[in-house]
Amino acid sequence: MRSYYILKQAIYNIWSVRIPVAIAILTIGISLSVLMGVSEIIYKVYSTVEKVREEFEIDLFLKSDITSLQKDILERKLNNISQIKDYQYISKEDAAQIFYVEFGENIFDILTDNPLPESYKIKLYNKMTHVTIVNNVVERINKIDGIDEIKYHNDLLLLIEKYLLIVMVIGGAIVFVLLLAMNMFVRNTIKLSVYSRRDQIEILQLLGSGKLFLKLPFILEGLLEGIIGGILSGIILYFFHEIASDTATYLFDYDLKETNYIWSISIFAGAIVGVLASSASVNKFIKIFSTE
Amino acid sequence: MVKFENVSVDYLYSEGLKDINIEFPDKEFSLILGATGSGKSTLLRLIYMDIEPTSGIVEVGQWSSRKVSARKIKKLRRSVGVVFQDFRLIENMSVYENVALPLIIEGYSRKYIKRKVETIIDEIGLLDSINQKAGTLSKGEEQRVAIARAIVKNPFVLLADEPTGNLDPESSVTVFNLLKKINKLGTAVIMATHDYLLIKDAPYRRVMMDCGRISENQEIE
Repeated sequence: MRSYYILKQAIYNIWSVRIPVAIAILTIGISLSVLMGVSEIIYKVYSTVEKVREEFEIDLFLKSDITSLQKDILERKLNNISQIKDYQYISKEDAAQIFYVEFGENIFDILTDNPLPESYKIKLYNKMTHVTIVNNVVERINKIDGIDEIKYHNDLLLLIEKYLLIVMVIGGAIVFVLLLAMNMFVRNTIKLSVYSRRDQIEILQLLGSGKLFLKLPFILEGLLEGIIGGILSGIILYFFHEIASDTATYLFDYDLKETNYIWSISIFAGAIVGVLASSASVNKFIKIFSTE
Repeated sequence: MVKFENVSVDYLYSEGLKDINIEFPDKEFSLILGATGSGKSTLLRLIYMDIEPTSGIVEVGQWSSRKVSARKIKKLRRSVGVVFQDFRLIENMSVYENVALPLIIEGYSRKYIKRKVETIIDEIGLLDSINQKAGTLSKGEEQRVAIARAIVKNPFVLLADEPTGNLDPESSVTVFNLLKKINKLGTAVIMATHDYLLIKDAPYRRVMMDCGRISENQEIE
């Protein structure tokens, strides 16, 4: 009976302040869809950066007169560098084979002698592929005897670190502003609901009602607003994915057709926003409008 | 039993109560009489602990104003029925829902609530209007609903603050008769009123109040 009463009151509250409620739902729907869109962009950028980092390599070209002993020492020293995940030795023959695969020509058809040097391809742990760490590793490797040249794309690392930071800062700011906006709108509608029901709150208190019984209809109201806002956000995102899917596949090789997760995340996020904002609001305003 | 011991209430801009010592025994019908502002409502508000005494002690059944807490007030209010001059019904709720509220708050089952509420509404003669919104009733009917809500949980004391103040003479008599009936069934009734005509021949104890003091306490033998 209590649950029925609480549900009925929540629905009545929503109906009695329906225009502010509609605005709050619209705000939640739009904000959540933008928020999830921004989060998705941040996630995709982050995944791309991780992929680039995963494929990051340092090429170590050896001097042509390097001895076997020097190679043994070099490998031992590479093993001692903790940031190195693994390395691969490329002999002169392997290099010729790679040349053939990459350029489609046999080096011996062009030249009588194989000029390609022996080398090592070094892979670092993912977390270690940051500009400063890479520079540090390269500096250590440079001190080892028998090395002719070290090649790595530090410029690429610099670029992705810079853009990742920009995306994170702008995305974070947008997320923050949208969270504030959603919170503000839900809080305001709950404030209006509490204000319009202030006589009822007083009567219930005179009848011996506890605080939780007073608050629950308003919290449920916030929850319902959040869920409806979440569904709206799901609809917006679904259509966005449908429209943007071809472009995303063409430009970034992302498949946006998979949209099942959007619904559950949207509704769950809407519910959380609704409950948190309404709880905060009802705690504050029941204190103001109640008689105790 | 309700007991006041050296109770005073100070208001910032008006007179409250001064040194009140009185007992209201169980099952008794008591009338608090006096002009507007004499302290009748303050006396009742102290009983349902809507306000605290500035000094002295108010004891209501097992509760004392000395050891009051929000939790205890909640429990006290569930054991005391209160009826106001302005009824304080929730207008968008039906007669049934208004009367059922104290039982819903306590968490009684739907079946129990239905049986209890229908019996009470039948007793106040509003069974035909049971599903009507409280806001559509006449004032007399509204006050009867408010009384039904106040007694639905069998309180040991029913407080009525000017219950006929907003009613026409005919409705006033109906409401007063209802309160008498409730008292006959064993509930103490403390009624504040200045409707002397209505209570003229009522064989009840009369407590006269004047400027926050008890000027006369007429026990009925």
